[in-house]
Amino acid sequence: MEAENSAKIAVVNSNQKQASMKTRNRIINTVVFIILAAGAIVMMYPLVWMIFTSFKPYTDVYTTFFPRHWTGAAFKEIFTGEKIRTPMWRGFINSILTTVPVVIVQVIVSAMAAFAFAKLKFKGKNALFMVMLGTMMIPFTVIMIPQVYVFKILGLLNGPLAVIIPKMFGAVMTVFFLRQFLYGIPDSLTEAAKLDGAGYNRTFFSVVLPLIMPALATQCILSFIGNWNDYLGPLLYIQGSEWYTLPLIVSDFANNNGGLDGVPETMAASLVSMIPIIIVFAAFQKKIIGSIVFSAVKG
Amino acid sequence: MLLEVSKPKGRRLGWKENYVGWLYCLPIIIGILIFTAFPIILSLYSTVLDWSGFQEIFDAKVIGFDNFKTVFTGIYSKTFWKALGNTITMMVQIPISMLLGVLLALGMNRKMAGAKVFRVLYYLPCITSVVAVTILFNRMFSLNGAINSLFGKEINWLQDDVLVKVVVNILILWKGLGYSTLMYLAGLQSVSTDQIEAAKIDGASGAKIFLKITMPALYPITFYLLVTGIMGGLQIFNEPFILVKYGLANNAMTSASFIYYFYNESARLGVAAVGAWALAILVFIVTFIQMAIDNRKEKY
Repeated sequence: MEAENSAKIAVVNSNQKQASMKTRNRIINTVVFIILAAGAIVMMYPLVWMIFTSFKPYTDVYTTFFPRHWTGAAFKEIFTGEKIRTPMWRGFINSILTTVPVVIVQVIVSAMAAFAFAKLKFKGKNALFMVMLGTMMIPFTVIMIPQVYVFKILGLLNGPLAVIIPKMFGAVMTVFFLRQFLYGIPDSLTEAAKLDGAGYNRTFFSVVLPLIMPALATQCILSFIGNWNDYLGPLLYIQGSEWYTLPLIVSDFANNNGGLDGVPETMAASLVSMIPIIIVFAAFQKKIIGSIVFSAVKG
Repeated sequence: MLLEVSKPKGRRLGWKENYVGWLYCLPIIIGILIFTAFPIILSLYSTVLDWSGFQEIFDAKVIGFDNFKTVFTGIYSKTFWKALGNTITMMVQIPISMLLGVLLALGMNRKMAGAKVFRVLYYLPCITSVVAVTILFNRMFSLNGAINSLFGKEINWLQDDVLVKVVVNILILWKGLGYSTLMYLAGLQSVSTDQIEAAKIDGASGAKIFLKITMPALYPITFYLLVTGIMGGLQIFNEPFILVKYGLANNAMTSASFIYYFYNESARLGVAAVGAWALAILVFIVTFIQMAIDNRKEKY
């Protein structure tokens, strides 16, 4: 009788405990949600302010958060106006020209080297790989200024070529990443292609490239975002303002229009320059976040 | 290896593969030689030159170690050491970003509504254009700007020696927080749930589980964030430069903008090269410390 009772009590107790755990969990979740939401508001505040300000008349820039009168004048100015040295539409052409072909060629060339490192046996492979890793240690600040001189010798400084050509020779980081990815693909697949009489080129282009497409796409997206947002490279290597990429145009415009009346246009230009990135991020958000998680697990 | 050589067919294939292997690496080798290795040699050589960049490098006068003297002890030394000091003060955000990153990741790792949306919202600043958001911060922190209006203050953020660094730190923190959060979130998700369940059954408290199981799992990520943070921090250029240009008036010049200044404004490429190598040595030291710690970890 007593034993039965105490068993009952135990059951009731554990039920109560579970119920209280549940309410505790719910309370914690609510608190965490409120904190995260408050943080998110702080994080989003600057970007929202940027969007609203670009639609305000300049008299309202700092006086109200929401625009009292919505106006698109700032956007008209940055695309067709006279205040802007290089109009934004031209910036879009320049930015696309200096990113899209670069990204595609760079990733394929890097994939070629990664294929050699991961799947081929050749003399000096390890030494070559160590040298390549060594070059990654050299900070960009060391080579950036002599690079200008090299580009001058090669005649790349007239126009956008200096930000295009060097990147078309591949990127060590991408080689490193793709090599890691290729290790995950069984050698039997490339061996089978070899046995079927496919040459190295056929093996690479019709077997390996399709297999690593997901990784290539991720690298393309990351490289696109990086190149689109790049500032120091174009600042050093693009001399004529007609070839300015969007970041250069935006900073140039901001420098020349520091007054209050320039704020909506500056914000509009900043906002417009980021639209392609935001679209790419929205479309490939899972891939982008996944690749960062991948590098975190490895690191 | 030996076996392959002894087979005649293997040797023939081996030669072909040697040749193809190098051929596939050729573009990147050429790229490294022209655009990295050659500039490194030029940079080293220019440390002993009085070179404006307007004449050919071989026409520049060799002046020995004068550039080193002017940078480390001579007329530019004050600017150089200040710039290095400023660079270091802009790294204050690194531990803050890591701490907030852990806390946010712990929150987002809970099974609750909206966790995925938060992940995207916090990460969004990371992909924004550094030019766009730095100009945005410049306008927000200007004397009559949005921040002063919001709090009804009249603080001269961008002209003050200390406050300008606070703004740079806030900017970098805001832009990088999503990244450290995401890294820690990945770390938390790699912690095995079995281990935590087992510890719970053994009666371990939440705090004890965090200290004994979760924290050690996050150690590699903390180490990685710290090292990459310091390496990036040493070379910081965009944020302070776009915010206040060279920042000569308000002590916001960094080591990287010191280098760019002596190239772009002063046309003393030798001085710029000395500054660049001084910075590179700091980067190398961090790299070697990292490698040493990595090796020690592998032993255990």
